[in-house]
Amino acid sequence: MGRLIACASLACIAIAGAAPTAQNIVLPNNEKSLRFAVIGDSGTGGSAQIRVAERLEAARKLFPFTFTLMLGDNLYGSERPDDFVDKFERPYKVLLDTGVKFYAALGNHDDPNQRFYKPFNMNGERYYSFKAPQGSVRFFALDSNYMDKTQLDWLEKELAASDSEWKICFFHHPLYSSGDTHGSDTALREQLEPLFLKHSVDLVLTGHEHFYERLKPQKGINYIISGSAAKLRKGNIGASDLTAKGFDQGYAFLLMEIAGDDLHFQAITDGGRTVDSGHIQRRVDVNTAGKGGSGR
Amino acid sequence: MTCIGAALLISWGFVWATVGTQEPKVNPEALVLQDFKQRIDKYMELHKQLEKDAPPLKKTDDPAKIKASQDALAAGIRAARAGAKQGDVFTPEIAQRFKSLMYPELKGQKGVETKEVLKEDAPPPMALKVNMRYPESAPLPTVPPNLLANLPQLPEDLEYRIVANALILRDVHANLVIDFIPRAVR
Repeated sequence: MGRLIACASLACIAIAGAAPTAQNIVLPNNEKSLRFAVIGDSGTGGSAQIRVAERLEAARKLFPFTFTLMLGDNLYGSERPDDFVDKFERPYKVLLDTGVKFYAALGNHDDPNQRFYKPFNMNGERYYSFKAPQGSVRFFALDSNYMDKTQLDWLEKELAASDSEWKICFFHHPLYSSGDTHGSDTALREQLEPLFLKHSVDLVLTGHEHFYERLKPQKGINYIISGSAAKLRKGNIGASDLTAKGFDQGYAFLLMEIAGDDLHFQAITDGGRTVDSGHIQRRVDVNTAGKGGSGR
Repeated sequence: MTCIGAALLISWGFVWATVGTQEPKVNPEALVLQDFKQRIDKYMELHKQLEKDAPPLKKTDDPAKIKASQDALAAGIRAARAGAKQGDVFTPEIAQRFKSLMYPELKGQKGVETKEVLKEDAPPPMALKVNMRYPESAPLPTVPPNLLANLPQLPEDLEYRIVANALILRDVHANLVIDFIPRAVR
């Protein structure tokens, strides 16, 4: 908490006619770290998605993340072949062309057959896990639209079998939220939280709410909502004791970096403004107190 | 003594034979669910058979191939089940059993919360029909996990969804409504 982090504050040079000016990166930006981006509720094909995508491109020039997590609602509306182009391939073309991988979770606007679309790296599964290319980190992508016994059993088994130091779950519906539109999904929480606690999940990333909210650690687990990569509900974060930091005035995405026991995060708007940053310490075990996020 | 013993043996044998011929008691609710399972198995047999004739649904960079596989299977199922009607899978008995299974999650404060979830993700109103394609542009409403926990498990290619107050049975690969229970959520 409050630990000083060596930050690389990299100013950028604006080039006329080029992509948006990149923002300051306040992350350690160590090439040995695991660096990734997070977007949620992104698949509109609209101007906001494009602006966020361009901002991601600019950020990547300074902070070369290798993959992006998608927190669901990857394709809004129809899912004809052209929609995959308009709502995914075209907005993220530069990132895709430079080798950035995308790992998708399903949202309530997503046809589960998206799992067969290779660029989403779901390996034909509605829920899956993968080991990060660097560090001792495993990600668990869940289908929160359909949390049946089969999936819960799978998750229990996967979490138990994982010997990764970091366990990060990502899916669409937030277990905790201060959103006026949706709020916390308590039924889902009843099913998932016991597993997260039992198996020391460190961080849970969700979308669904069209804003950014970092929550105060709940029972030692860190939760971040990032559902405004193309959709926005202005002023939708209600007054709540849950919020550590919220931003509901603009579109946003996340950059993250894991180095050892620390995960550093930075939430950035489509205009390049940093609206939240800080670090999270890895949970050592379920009974360790004093863990959790600290914002700067 | 021998006669008495023989008589006892004969009478025990009679009792044994009588008990042995009685129909074992069966839970009628379990029978209803067994019937549901058989109907699902029968549908999946057809689904798997028709899948063989459709382009395979496998990982691809080309979303047109996913769509082609979905459309071909949907066409096959529609043709094979041209006469299918509401209630073929969810018979009145099965529908009633499902309503009973869901009811505990739909009453009281828990029920209020469950219905809130359903309301939040509700797709626009639609007239449900067996064999209809689930509208591509409509969101797929989240099924609250507490409701799912009370319902029979389905094979991977089938799922429940709740549209307005109806419980639908949806073929995931073909994106078809296989059957539905109207007014399942009250």
